[in-house]
Amino acid sequence: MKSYDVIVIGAGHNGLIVASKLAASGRSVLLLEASETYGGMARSEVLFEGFQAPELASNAVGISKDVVKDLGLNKYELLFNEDGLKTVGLSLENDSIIFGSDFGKNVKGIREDEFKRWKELRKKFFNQSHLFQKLASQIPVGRNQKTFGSKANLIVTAAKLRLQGKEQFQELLRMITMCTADLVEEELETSSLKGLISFDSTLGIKLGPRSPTSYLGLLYKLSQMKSSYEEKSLSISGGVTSFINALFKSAEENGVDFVFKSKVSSLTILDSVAKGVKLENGVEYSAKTIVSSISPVNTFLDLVDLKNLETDLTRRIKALRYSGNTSKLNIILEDLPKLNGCQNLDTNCRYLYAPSLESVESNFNFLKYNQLPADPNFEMYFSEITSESSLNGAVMASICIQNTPYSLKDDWKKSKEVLMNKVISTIQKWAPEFKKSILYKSLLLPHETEKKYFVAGGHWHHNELQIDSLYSLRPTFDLSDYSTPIDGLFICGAGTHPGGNLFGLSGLNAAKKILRESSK
Amino acid sequence: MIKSKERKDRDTTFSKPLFRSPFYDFFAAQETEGHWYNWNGYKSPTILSDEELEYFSIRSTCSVFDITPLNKYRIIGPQAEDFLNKLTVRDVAKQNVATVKYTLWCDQEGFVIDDGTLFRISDNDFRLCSQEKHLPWLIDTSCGFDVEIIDETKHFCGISLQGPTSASILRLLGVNGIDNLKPFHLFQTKISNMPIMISRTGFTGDLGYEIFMKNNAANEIIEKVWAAGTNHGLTAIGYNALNMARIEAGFIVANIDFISSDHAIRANRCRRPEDLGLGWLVDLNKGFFNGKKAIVNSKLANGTAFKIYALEIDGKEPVEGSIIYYNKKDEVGTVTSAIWSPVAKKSIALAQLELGPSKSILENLWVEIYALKELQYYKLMKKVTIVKPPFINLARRFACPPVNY
Repeated sequence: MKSYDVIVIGAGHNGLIVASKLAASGRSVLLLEASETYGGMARSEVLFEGFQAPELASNAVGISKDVVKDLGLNKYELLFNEDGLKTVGLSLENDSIIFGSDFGKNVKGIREDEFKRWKELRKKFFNQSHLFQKLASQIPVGRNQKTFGSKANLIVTAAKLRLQGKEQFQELLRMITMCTADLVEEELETSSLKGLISFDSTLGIKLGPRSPTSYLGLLYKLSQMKSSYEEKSLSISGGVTSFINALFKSAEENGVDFVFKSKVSSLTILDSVAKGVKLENGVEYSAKTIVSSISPVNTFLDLVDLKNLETDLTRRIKALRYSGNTSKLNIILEDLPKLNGCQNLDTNCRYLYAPSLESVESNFNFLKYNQLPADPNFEMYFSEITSESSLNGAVMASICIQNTPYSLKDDWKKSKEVLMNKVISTIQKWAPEFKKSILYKSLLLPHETEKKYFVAGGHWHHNELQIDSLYSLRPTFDLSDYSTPIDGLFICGAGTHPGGNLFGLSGLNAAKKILRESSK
Repeated sequence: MIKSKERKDRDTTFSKPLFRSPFYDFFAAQETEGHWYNWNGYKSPTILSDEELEYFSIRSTCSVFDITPLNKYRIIGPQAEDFLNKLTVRDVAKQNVATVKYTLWCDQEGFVIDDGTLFRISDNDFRLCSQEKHLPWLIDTSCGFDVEIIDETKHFCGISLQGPTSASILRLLGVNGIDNLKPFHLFQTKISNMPIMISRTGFTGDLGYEIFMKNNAANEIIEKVWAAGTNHGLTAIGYNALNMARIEAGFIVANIDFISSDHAIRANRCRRPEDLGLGWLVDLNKGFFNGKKAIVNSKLANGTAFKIYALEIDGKEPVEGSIIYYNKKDEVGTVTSAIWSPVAKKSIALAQLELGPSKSILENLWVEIYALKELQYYKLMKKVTIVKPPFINLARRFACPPVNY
């Protein structure tokens, strides 16, 4: 049996970060990945006719500056959205609004007095987003983590918020558990602007804009934006792949051993101490430290034999909410579709269909009862294909559809086509050429994501990112410091603090914890 | 039809009127001055005729007590032993077939959830009896084990025969094998063709047996037992008499002498096995079990905690619920159960005390008693002596074969 210092399970971005960082400390590291290549839910797949692109994570999000700095990712070619990302809020009745980069620093298409009110509101949002900025890069204070440093950090964060003044602080306390709907309706009038903010605060989580605490979703997003590398998001075309490739190269250079197509079937645990892993093909590896970057649900319910787990923890893991609610539609178009007004679609823009707050809320109602959304909301990115495949010159549209249930009341087989057609006919309304130029299309639903990417529920955050599963409650209060009751087993996936898209801090924090806790 | 089926299977714990055990009619017929209470959803007697006489039947002749309301869980399957090893603190692999062991189970903090008796009927067939309900806990603990858990509480009933003449009554009933049945052992037999399970167990510290049977056998068996006991002083008893006997035997009861960890609201009310004086049950040499890590860690940390002690108290005033003081001024704990023991001829009590490591403290403990004498309270400070339970030791409890009367 081959032996390593560390075995990392899952080559998603968090797995790669942990592996690279631990290998850099001189440990021998083995990274096991079930699929054929690295990247996890951000990995590139052959989509159509030899054309490769990330099937899931193609939306432009930021990556943590700490990760870039710590692993020295600068020396690799990271592609960013240099000009910032504009969002076009599509509306069928009125003119579309254009929401400038940096979350609407400038907004075109709204009245001047409305913009003034938005500016004030936006300032408030950003002031309050300090809440998560500093906390994200720290191991949460909790049951197992009571160091002076982490407590001090919590106090500094609170002080920073308090020092903004009594009024601001009271405002934060008033707003923190509110729903997005009440907040935007207090100040704003423009329907599509309210729709846009509602969409952004609830995408990926099972809340509607009228659900209490949905505002936290927005705060979380803004915090990430502010602590992203150079406050930029990854470029729409190739940005995600450039990040994943950089992480892979970094891990490779630090001497990580990779074994692909090796799905771990179980962990070897002796009297609550992790000793190694067993693969589905029968191969075994041993290590003192095992880090699981897969979902906590998969880690504990699939890999750890429940016989080795406290009943209390079994209960808490089973109680996690992890059914996915976002689907991904990828479409290859002959060329860039034209808008109604003849102008071309912009490949540097995010297009958003959330015409109003009510639209987002009513679609969420369908999700609650496991039904297909009536008029689905989605965000969409276009990128030109420049690869050497036969699709050179074509355009890929990546569409994230909100509020699609994991388990549908009806049969998904029939409804899949219905959902696709709903989205396409919506786009068709303002880009009449769209349908005609479709070459290929494919829709990946949450339960399909679960199967293909080995993530329970097909949830892109691994488990819900809501008020009861943040910071020291993520994924549960006794696992929030990345260690587990099984000695030598750590978790570092998106299901841990702070999680969130491709941010990467879950992996980095876990690596720091392991470096501090376990000797070689 | 559907409605009657629903009625049969529903949980009757909180329903009114209270559920009646198959022995209810028999016990109700024995009532002369009855007091009843709710035990686990069943209408159960606290006193049927006379508390003292009922108690003395346990110690002098034989008593019959209805134990049907106990929660009875059947655990069957090839991994039943492994499952119980994860659930409970004792090593079930060491428990032989046809024996009964007193055991307890803990949560992940090593705090006691409940105690109970585990009957090993065969290699892969167990019955677990407990004071509190635990089906969800048992089911959640069984994840990953090939085992079936059945709540038999409503389908099986039981009586407890306790007292010096209990063996003689069973002999009269024609139960073979009573002579060879050692304490904490069990066997399956029949009384007038009704299958029963007899174990030499009880909650009195006396010679005694517990008999489990299916509900439909209840009437016939209780009639047979009652008839056989006519000349052996068989008396039907309520809980109060049993409670006196169990205090003399030094047995503790969940949610009376300690708070079950899943009932406790205040964090400092939870107790580890060591605190209950039951550290000897915990087998740290076996594999993983619920609470093991916390129990090991708590042994390393040298904190003071509330522990259960057995006390003898000067005088004869009742001390139930009284506060215990060190040096007549510093509070150290509370009495949880207390009686005047007719056998030991002493005032005895179980109490939870936080004493710390110092030995000298043991010499200077006092209990504050407010004695009501004809509408006037007298505040008394009585000397407390810590003793090793049980308060009484009866040779007949372990005698094998038991004496025939």
